[in-house]
Amino acid sequence: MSSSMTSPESPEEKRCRIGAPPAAIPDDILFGEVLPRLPIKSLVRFRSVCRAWRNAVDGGAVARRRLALTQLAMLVIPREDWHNNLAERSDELNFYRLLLTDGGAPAAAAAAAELLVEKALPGSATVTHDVVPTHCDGLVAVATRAGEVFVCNPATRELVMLPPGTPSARDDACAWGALPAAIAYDASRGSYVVARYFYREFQEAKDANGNFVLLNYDIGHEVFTLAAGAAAGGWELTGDPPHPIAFARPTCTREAIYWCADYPDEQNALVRFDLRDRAFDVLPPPPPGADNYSGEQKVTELEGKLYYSDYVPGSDTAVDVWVADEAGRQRRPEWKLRCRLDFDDGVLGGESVLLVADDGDELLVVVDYIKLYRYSDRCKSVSLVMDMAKELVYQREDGSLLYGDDEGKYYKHHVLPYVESLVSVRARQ
Amino acid sequence: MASAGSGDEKAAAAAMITLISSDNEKFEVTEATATLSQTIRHMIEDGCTDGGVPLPNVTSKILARVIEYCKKHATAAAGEEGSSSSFSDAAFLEVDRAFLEELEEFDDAFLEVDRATLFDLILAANYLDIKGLLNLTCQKVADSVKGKTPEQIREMYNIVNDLTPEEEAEIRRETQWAFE
Repeated sequence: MSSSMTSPESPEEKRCRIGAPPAAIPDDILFGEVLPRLPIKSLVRFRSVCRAWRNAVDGGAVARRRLALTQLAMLVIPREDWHNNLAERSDELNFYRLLLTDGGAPAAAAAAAELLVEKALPGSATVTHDVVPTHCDGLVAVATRAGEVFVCNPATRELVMLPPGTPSARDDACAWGALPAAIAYDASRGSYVVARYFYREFQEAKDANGNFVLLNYDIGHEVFTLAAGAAAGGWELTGDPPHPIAFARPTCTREAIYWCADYPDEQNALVRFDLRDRAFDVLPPPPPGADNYSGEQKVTELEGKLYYSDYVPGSDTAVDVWVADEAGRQRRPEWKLRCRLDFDDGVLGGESVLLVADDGDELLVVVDYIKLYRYSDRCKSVSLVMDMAKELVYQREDGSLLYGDDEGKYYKHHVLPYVESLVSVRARQ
Repeated sequence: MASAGSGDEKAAAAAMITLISSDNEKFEVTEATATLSQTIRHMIEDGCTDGGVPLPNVTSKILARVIEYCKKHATAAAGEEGSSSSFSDAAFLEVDRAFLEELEEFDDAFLEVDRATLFDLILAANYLDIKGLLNLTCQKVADSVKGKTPEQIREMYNIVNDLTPEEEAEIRRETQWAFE
């Protein structure tokens, strides 16, 4: 709006306007197309340009547009993994970006870790070595062995600790690990939610063959909505899951959270929690299900698709990767075989095989939280990119290393699909 | 007018569209070039391009630049499609890489314009819905401001700071790391 008819302007202001011709970008393009292309650090800084810019950055629109423009990357969280000290606490929780440097030929790739945030925890807070991280739109929910859950955006360094959920009757009794929490975007309500399960009762025993048998259980499930005034909201109980759930890391899509079933009747079933209906459903895994239950992670979401990886029946070196498109309101994933990974060097120990990237021609797979493999569609073969335990270097801000090889510590390298985002852990989007 | 669904590629490639700038200058371009603009693509699909397409928001100076961009990128798109079947994978990759490099050089040179022109290009890319051009030009603006301080941004864009000193101090305190 022109102000030439109203209050008199100082000569300086006038000069300024004449000097700067009306070359301007309309707000809708500025906030819709230019700001979302800025690095997070610039955006956070530019909140202090003026009110309009602050509101644009704090409102969800820039964050959501930015997500649409940003490519999927990988996050790596190194944690000590030494069976004696899993419940021990550390004040160090660092997030790194996992970078793949392409050497041209499929076998010539290497990986490096770039520091995103060091000591993400506030003040003197500590966290158990054993954690389960999950990811959605740049937010990482970290569940600890002590039952805490906090949510962090490593790009904006925001972190909130959620209030304690319902205690579980199982986690202490079992050596498996931290009780996982799943973070997801509930599009129908326009908010990010964290879900967790807990056991009110859990009794298992070993049978004559040494196998665990489930005697009795009572499982519950609750959801926390991330919103302004988060602490006031609290955990809300949902209906009870129709099946026991395992400690394996869950994953989320736009429609649902997928938990891995424990004590599977239908081998390795998935327990699906529909975000819109807040209701459960038990899904069979892709065929052929086999009696190879490991309790390890099976599902990952990558760019809206659900992936499932599991050992080929009777093999401990071959893994089938299945993919399902969950577009629309289709409830049951229709699985298609994506590829078979043949780890013919026989290093797999029947442990976790975790898919972390699929760019159409190549898959990246993390085995046992330590080894990073690449599968090439062109060559139909798997090659080792890196043994993270031996080769991945984690630097701190001051240049010191997170660990040296000589300390005799084992680490779990939690690798997650990740997208750098502006999504706030506090605001309703 | 090229009749849709004729299946004759040569005829489709030769079909010309006339674009008319705000200052009434006429530009003849191929359909392949024009359809990089989603806006024009929809007009062609609706069959309302007879007698030329008036673009009252775009001057001849800017339209000439936009067409230059579209011509180059339409050629690149056609080249990719054409070569994918006739080369072995390895050879295709090399051709592909050379193409991309050339295109990148073109884009860099294309962006060597003053700020007013850059802004006009953004407006035109937005109006004509040319995704590649909008991405290129907006990224250029973003790159030119990303390292600046809030003070420099206000100066560059003539923005009045309407935050109170307290609000500004609070933002700095909350997110000190972003100012370092």
